[in-house]
Amino acid sequence: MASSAHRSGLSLGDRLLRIYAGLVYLFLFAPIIVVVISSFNPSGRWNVPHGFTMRWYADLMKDDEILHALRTSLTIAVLVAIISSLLGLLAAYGLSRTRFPGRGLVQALFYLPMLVPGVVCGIALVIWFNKLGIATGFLTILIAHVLVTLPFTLTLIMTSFYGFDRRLEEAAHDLGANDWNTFWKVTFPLVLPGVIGGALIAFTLSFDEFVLTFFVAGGGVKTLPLVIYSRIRYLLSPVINAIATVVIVFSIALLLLSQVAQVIRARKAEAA
Amino acid sequence: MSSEIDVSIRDVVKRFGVMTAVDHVSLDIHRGQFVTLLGPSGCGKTTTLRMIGGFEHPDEGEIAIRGEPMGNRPPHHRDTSMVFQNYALFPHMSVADNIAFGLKERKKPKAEIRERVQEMLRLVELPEHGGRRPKQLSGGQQQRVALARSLVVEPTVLLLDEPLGALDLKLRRQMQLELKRIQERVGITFIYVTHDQEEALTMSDRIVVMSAGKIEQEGSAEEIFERPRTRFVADFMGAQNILDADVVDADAQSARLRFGGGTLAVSEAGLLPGETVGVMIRPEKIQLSADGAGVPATVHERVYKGATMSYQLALADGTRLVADSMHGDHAERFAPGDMVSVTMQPRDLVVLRGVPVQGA
Repeated sequence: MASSAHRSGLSLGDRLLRIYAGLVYLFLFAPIIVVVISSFNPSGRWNVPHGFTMRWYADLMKDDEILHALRTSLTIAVLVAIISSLLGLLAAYGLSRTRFPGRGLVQALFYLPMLVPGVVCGIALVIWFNKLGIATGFLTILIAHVLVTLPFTLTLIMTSFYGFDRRLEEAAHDLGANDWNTFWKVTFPLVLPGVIGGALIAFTLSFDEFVLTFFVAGGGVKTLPLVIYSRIRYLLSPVINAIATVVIVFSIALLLLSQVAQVIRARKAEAA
Repeated sequence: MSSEIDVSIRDVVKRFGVMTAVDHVSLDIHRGQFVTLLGPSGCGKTTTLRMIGGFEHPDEGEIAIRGEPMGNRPPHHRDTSMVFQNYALFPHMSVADNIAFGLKERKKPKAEIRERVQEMLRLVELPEHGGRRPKQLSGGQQQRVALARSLVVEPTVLLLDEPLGALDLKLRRQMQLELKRIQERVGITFIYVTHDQEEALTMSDRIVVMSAGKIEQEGSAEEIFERPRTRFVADFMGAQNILDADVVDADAQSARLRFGGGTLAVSEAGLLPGETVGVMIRPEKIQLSADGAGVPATVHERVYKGATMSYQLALADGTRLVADSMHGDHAERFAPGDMVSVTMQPRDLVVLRGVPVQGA
């Protein structure tokens, strides 16, 4: 008796907690699951499907506007990832290595774009670009995305620098390495996980950035979120479900890949 | 031993804010010697070492290596190499790559690097560990890799900042002997920083005792241990008996001192009547007898220590003394409560200058 009660193991509180956790997950993922199911629904609507179709995916492959927007979004996201993590690396290096008056303020200012509402930021950028005479388009989207992603990349890269043992750099200097070599052979490899993490978050944030992009895109350049938005406003195309599913699968794959890479790294470090 | 000077420190001062870490230190370190900077934490020993390595720069004074003034030259332009307290091995490189680092910076040919790395791994007795990561090695092994990494660049001077601090006692003892063996084999000048006086005695050709940014005494291990010049050194080297005494009268070679239990004759020059000094005597140099010829004392406690018997004594004024006597068949034995008489030979008494050590 006692042992079986022990085996089933869970008190009422624990059971309720599990059910609660399950409901939270359902709440989070139900809309996404509906989209994925609908992308295979022959009716093209968000109802209970009767049958299975790949038709919307076939349509997607022929939809030049969406494919073009996808390419634009990917290009911007990759460039933003590179620029944002590079700037984040430089800022983190400077902020963690130097002491100067107003350093705290400078660091706080880096985080400001995270707090300013996108609408405010968007209006400010439009006015600013206008004054400077920069035509809205690819370049302005790029600048806006770097602006909003930098606080996140900086935060991630800063954590790598906080735990950094400065004696490793002293040891490199001591063994004859100048500042340049010390940075590339010792500092950079050790903060690289933070830099990669920063680049990944910048990529993700840029890829689905909407509000700022809406303001600064101008007429010519359309990113994927902009195209999806205009489609669901004017015609509720089932192709949207298909492209959404592709993006979801892609995101999950990216996440898994980074996890796998970490596991492999850890194993290598243990086995070598 | 060669008398050429590898490191010359002249009147060096280093301040951190309002704190003076190193206060007018001058020191010559001779080629091929194992020199230990010894002292409690905060005495300036590590700062001195870091200044020799170029990690800190003196506010005043000059450090020269092989006669060449270093000024504010950075570490990578100095012929010194440092073994860090936590080893500071590069975690993202293999053991072999760690050791090869300095040679690669010096743009040595690949074949030579490979050969030298193997040679170093053999020297520190880790010939099979080149492919491992530092984290996969034990503390003692990491310590050896750090040593190999610094030695491979053939520095003029090897600097060691409490490198055995993280090891357990048994491994520490073993590594002390091994460090000494390696130092004798490579013949490089070692400057070693520690707060452990036993470690200093085991390894050093010369010991420099530091306190509050200044050098208290410099000498061979034997000199420092047997003939400390100040109370601080005596206390730090573990002296058990330090008596306060006043100089009653003095001539050129000797003096008569008054202390709690009576008077003592010492063979020490340069004392002035009225001066207060400390007097150190080793427990094994104190003779006890029952006949009343010396200073009277009461046996307080008796501890059997195998080869010796250790007596805790109290003098008439309450001053405590520790005396160790061999307890052969002919030796007298005393029990707690016994009255004994203490005799101390002038040649065994070491006169100490300086103020009494706080809390001692």
